[in-house]
Amino acid sequence: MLSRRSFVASSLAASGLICASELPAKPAKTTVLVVGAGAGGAAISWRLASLGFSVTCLEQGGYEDYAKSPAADPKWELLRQREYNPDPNVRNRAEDYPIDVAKSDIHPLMYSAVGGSTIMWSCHAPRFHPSDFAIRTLDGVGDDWPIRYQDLEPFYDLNESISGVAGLNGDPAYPDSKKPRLPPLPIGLGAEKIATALNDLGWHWWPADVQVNSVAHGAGRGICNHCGPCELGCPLRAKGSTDVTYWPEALKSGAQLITNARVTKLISRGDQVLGAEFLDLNGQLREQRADVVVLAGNGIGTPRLLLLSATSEHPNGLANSSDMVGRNLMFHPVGISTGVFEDALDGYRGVTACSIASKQFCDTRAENDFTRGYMLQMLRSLGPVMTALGGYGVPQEWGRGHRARFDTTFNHTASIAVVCEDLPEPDNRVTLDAALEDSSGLPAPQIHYRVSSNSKKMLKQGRERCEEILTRAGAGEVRHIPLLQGAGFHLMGTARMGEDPKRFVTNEWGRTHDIKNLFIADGSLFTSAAAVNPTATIQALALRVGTHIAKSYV
Amino acid sequence: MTSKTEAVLDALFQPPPDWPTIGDLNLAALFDAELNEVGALAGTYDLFALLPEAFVGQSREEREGALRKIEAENPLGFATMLAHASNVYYSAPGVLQKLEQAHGYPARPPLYVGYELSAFDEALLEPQKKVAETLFREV
Repeated sequence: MLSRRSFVASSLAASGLICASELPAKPAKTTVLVVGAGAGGAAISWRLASLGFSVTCLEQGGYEDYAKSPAADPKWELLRQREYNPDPNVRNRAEDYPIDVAKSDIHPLMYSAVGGSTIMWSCHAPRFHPSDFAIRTLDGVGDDWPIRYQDLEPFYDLNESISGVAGLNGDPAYPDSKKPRLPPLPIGLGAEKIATALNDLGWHWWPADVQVNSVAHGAGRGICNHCGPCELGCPLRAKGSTDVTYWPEALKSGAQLITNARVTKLISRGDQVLGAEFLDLNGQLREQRADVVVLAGNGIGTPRLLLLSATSEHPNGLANSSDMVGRNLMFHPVGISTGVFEDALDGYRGVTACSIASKQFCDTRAENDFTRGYMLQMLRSLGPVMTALGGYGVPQEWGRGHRARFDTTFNHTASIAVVCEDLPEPDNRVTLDAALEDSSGLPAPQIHYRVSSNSKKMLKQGRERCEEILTRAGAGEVRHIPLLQGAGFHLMGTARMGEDPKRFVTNEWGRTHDIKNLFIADGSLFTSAAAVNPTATIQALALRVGTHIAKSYV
Repeated sequence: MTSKTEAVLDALFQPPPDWPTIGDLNLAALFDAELNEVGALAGTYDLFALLPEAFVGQSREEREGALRKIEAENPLGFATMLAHASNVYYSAPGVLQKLEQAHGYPARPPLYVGYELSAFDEALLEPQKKVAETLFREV
């Protein structure tokens, strides 16, 4: 049996991983060109390659070098604020593009690498609920998806069997089925207190579905050692980032992955896309032709690229006759409430960002003054630096009171995130910035986004519920962050799927209405946002789109 | 105190007698080194220039008072300086060792050792399993 290191090395050297600068100016035509190697791009590349298709993926970042993991550095909390910050405007690496957020209440977060934002992802991977696909029919808001939970269910199963999801079947928030699950992760002392409080209050909770190996799963992957900061990447390969789940298998199946390739525009003629132009690290422009193109550059990168690909035939951007490309941008507005407890909770142990989740308030209720709802996601606590900086909204003192305040809060907190369902609004959108450019001179995306009054009402009620839960759990002090500005983890809705070509960008298979061989396989497709994390649904959609392409192009 | 930076850090964190001093940890040099590297911290020099000339020789109480005056007049600049100071102080090995003694938080980075945790106790879920109704709506 191969060791983990030799397995990964042999997988990558298997021929399919190439740096863009090593390519000829016009590489051989491929059947399917995928743009972006993150959650969706990896899943669809694997799906099509494993079904025998010629697949080439262009990724603007490189392979993550886990030998340099910040989580093994004594200054890991400082690195997290700088070089490994999830905000590209702070991180400011060559492979990142800047984002103009002056007109946005929430700042987008993302990562450019093989694996995309799953590298910095906190690995919470719940499925959407059945009602999330029919919010117009059920609640009279937003739009129904052109598919239902049942259409996606086999692809959720497939994704989870590949990625590895720790959790527990039987959650009453979902239809009864035998989902592929590894044993649940330990939830820790803080979540145990909160779970007990939720039991007392008669409110739902369940161990979170987390794409982390609680036991051995997947070739070349390790088992979680509960070290904590999953957001800094997982050198143990216990977390299901797609560089260690889908990509080794996709490369073995013959997919070609070209790194450090910044796509500048799609090449089109009439209602066909012919391929893409891209820049290598040296700034040399190259071209990749393909029969089919799939965009998986996330909910901001994908509309940006479509807008950058405007031609005289498509003056408003490619696939944008509806003027819906970039519109209906949805985040999940997040508030955080933190309880300070007398007991030490050892909250630095274990997956930081999720342990248990409550779906009690996810759905519409007649008594509320808002429509749809929010999830409560339990968070562990922070390291000493972030505690000293007042992280999770617990202020520190300096001077005389510093030592006592720090010592009564550090290792004594547990938090709850209120994750709100955002509704689609056309004025919340991504456009091309008139002034800001990336390092290649391409227009940066500009975000126009305001938190809706509906979401503000949800955040307020969520805050009140958290106060009740944390107090019941025994917290002597509860603090709140009403809205976390740097919480643009989830980028959705900017090329939504739907039947009407005048109102939606793609059909139910992720194929754009305007361009017959152009598909989308990322969060841009989401017709609505639900109140849960999107990655499982992005990956299930990508597998479904890939399966459709395979059937259509045989 | 041998420098203004050392005197500021001491007034901010006020290490107890059994904790290493700012001087023991050589934190003033680390603090100053980053001021020259990180552009956002450049304003710290301007803040320090506002401190009284006798600041280094003052008692902790007097130094805290001087800093509180500056904080009131320059809240944003002071917050930036305090964040930098917190980064430096709570990354120092000597401080982490004291935290290990006080809180059990190991004075090492999270990787590669990780931590032990008790397995999930499914008995906690019993009240949830007794709930007959489902939480989702069929479509």
